[in-house]
Amino acid sequence: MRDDILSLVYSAIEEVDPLTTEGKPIERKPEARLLGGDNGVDSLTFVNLVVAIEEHVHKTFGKSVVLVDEENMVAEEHPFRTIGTMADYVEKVMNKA
Amino acid sequence: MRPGSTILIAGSRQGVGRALAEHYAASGHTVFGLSRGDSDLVHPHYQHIRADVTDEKTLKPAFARVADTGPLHVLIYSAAVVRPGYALLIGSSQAEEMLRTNLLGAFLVSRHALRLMKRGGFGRLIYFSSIAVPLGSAGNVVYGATKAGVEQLAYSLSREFGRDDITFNTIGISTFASPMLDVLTDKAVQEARAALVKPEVVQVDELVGAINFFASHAARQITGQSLYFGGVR
Repeated sequence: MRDDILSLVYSAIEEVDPLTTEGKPIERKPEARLLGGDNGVDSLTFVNLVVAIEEHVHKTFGKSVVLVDEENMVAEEHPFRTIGTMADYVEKVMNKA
Repeated sequence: MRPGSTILIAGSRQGVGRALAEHYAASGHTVFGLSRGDSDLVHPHYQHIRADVTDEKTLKPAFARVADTGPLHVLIYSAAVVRPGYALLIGSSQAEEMLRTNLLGAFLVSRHALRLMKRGGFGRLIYFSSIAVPLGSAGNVVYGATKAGVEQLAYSLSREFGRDDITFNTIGISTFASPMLDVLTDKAVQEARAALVKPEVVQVDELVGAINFFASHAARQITGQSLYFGGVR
């Protein structure tokens, strides 16, 4: 399941094609930084990425999820820090949906 | 408005929202209506969803239902509460009720709508403001402030989504025959009309004309704007 979600996150990254604040493409690996730090993506790009992931979840699993959600986010510490933490978080939100 | 659009009307049980739901359903669009209570509007193109615009817990399943039918093209935010009264006479709970429904609700509903619109690559968000903003109507301090807030909301959102084919505009209604007008005293209505260049009650077809323009593909560069009925600015 986690591998499926990781692939889904990679597909969303492929679609949005975000660049880091240093102007480089995001590496396709779980430990790659997404948000925060010196080499994450800018916040507007991140918005597009979140929407793309939500859309991929809907298309792939038929579930309508809201990732940036107070109720979900209070239970997690920095869920958007890396691709890996994002995938873990998506899985948890999907299981609750 | 493109034929076969999917339109969500927040505050569709009565007043302006109800009239627009009837019009757009009859025009063949797919119309979703949101309100706290049930609706007696029955039409094959209309689906009513019970939800509180100020409560995320009810909005999430409501928008999941909309998402299941495909992209959302147009949001019309007409949910509003008006509790007229001079500043020193109005209760804080009444003020809070207006702030929550008119402003917080517009923000929360917009966020959900935007998720669906970003997916579809197209969106038109249209909010109702009021002539209370340019007129600064006495007796409508909080109501006017919430509507000014809605105009700012639309303007700021237009900045955040400037790169998308998504626009945000407001329509300031002067007077429209609805339960909201009924809560005003005759004197208050007369005073409001006296301040207008065009004091006639606004009709549904006039509102539809303004909405259809903002919702059109041709208006893709018109965003963050406020249009007022009645000749005020």
